[in-house]
Amino acid sequence: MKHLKIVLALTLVVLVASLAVFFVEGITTPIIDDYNFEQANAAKFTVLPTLTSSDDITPTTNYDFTDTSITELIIVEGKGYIYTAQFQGYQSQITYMVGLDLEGNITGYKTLLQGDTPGLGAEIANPDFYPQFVGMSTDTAASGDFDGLSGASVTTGGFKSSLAKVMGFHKVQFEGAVVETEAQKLARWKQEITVSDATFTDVSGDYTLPSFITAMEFANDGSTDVAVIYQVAFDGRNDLIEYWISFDLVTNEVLGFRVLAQAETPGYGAKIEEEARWEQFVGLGLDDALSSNFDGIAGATETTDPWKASIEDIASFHQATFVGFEGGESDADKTLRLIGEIYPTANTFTDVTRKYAANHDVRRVFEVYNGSEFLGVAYFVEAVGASYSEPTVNQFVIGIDMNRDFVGFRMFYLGDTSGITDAYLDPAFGASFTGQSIDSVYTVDSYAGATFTGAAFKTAIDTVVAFHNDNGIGRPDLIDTTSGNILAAFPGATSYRSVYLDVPYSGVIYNLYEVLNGSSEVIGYVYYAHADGNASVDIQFTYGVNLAGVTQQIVILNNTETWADAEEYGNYDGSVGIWPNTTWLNQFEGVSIPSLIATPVDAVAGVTNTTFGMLDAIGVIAEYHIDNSIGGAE
Amino acid sequence: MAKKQKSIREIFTNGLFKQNPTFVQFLGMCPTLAVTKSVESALGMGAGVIFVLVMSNLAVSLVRNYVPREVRIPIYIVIIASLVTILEMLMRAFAPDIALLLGTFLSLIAVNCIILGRAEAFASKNGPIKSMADGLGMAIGFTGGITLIATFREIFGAGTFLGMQIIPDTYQISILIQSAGAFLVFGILVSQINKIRMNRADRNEVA
Repeated sequence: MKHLKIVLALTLVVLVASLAVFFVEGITTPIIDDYNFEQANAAKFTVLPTLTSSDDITPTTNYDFTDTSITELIIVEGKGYIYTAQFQGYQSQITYMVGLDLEGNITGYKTLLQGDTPGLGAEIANPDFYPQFVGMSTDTAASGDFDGLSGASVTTGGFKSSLAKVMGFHKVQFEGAVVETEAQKLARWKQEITVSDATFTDVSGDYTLPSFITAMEFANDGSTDVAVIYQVAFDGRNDLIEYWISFDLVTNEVLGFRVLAQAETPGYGAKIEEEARWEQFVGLGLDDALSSNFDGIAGATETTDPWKASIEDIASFHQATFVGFEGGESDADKTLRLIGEIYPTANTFTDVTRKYAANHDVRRVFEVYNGSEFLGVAYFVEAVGASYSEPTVNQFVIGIDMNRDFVGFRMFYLGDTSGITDAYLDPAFGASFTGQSIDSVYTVDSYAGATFTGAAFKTAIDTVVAFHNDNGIGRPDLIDTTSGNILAAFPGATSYRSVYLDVPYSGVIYNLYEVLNGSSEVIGYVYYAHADGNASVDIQFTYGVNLAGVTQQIVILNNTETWADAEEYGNYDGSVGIWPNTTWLNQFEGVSIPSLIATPVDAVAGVTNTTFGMLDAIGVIAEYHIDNSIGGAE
Repeated sequence: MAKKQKSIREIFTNGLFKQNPTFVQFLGMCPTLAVTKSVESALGMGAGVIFVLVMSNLAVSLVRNYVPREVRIPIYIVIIASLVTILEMLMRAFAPDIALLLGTFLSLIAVNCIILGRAEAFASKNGPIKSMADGLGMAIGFTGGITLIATFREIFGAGTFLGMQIIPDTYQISILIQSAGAFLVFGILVSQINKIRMNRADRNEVA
């Protein structure tokens, strides 16, 4: 019974309450609806004062509003048009409504929604802003010839551009104005930035285009291709920016520039779309384009920087494609080119960097050959430079030949203060020590005003020389001959060991051996060397010298010389045998090294190629023996 | 001694001063702080509360003898909620500007403690006339309270009274118009009212 009462009471109360609410709702709903409708359409009544509540204000769906900033259009039969449009203000989307009468004059304006800066952009919603539009023609409105908002150029710019689009739409749709289509505009632009009446051929497929070039076309004037248009894209501040740039195929000057798409901030980066800004590209030289020597957009660094970088990119692509220049040269190619300049006769460069312990300054080591001839080494060096303002590095290529002389220097990259240290770029700098021996107290020029840079180069070059010496670079791998050949050159020797790596390289000497007697005492040295024989045949020989500097045996190791031919010539009687048994060679045995230099053996007429070749080689050995104090020789 | 029956007049004035919901009972703080930016919204809120409180007190009082104890609160809530819904529809229909001004706080009258508080504390125990007198007194007391706060906030914070400019921009204390200002003004007013009340209590003791 109790429960029943509870249920009954609750049901009753809910029922009565519901009835009351239902009743009130019935009364108020139409009133509320009317109010809401009036509120929602109040703006429409404001912008088109002739509007009455009986007019059909259903938005039309018969038009394409793409790129007009229009969000809604109401065509009021016999009265006019109400446009609602939206654009990006400084910090908010701004929606406004504008009414036009049948004659195309503005009947009213109202800002519906905005969230811009109070006092600045927000003034667009100040009712004082509205009256100026009443009675204004579409042309005036489209031209932007009305008061903007002081101090709010971004909002004003966005508004004027949006209103111009709305007016443009209206003129085209309802006033029969003829405007060119997007396609017509692009076609006109192409002519403008090349030559008029040109025909265009897409050649994108004929070239390997970097990713920033989206298309490439040739403009033909009827007989020849006169210009090229690149369609280029780059990342602006907000979004991708796409443009056309054309180059003259003869002068390689820029012919024109057109922005195809951009979504940069109005008043800032969006200024890239200003036609006045494009004018500066007409006739812009390729060098200026390469160094992006044109005006950017003040206050829009984040647009200007990538824009300039993009122009540089496209200019260097154009240069590499149509002008021809080592603009596309890689660092590796450049290094090899510079080594080639240092060693003009070289044809083979072998990167042997990995054969040596790493060095902070010496980044790459190359052995340089002309065919099989080992000409020397070249180093690619990256060393700390000197600058008052920042840490810098300088890069250069330097060559040291087999004679242990500097053979050349090329600056790869001078990182030190430009303008102050430019003197080091002059070939005279490298020439100041080229030709000097790395074993001498070589001098490296230093220039007034940039002496620290000079000192830095001297230090770097010293480092290279130290590296060169420490690693025994600049000599081929040891060449050995047979045990018999060595011992034959030094009677009494029973064993030997190579000591050539302890002494400097010489092109004549293949190897140098210390020879020992049965008691393991060093008794002298044997050179394994070679001389230029007749017809470029290499004569290899071993040659012993004892500790007193007296020569021992000379053993010729090959027998290809045509010595016999000499028998018929001159003062050589030929009776004592032919090469290599000729007594001529005996003159080199059992004599002191100094005397070999002081009173050289005579060459033999008729076999001068062979004898002079031998004399040259033995002369080199003699001087080498003394210069390097082999076995204490002086 | 049986408790002395209060007169209608006493019941009415009880809510105005002695048991003022805003400054004495601290009931309905949420709208007190939220809608006191302007006198207009305070008055609008007050009007809404007067309507709902008087009507709910009346309704509760009328059904009080037929409501089972166990479900009295749900029933009160149904009554109050229905009244608020009705109020909201009426205001949106006939006073849309104020309805817009109050926004969601209009619906939130339903959960204002004063309403349910008076239904339970007074209307469920008294007859319809007395209950309406109590509701009216309490609601007017509440309206007076929030209007007082709103007056200070609007005049000193926004320099206006009912939208009319009184104090130039330069001399406004703009923090008062912000949320924190509601607490400040409320706190200061409570302290002053308490001072007056205490003094009176002291005097009564002496007498």
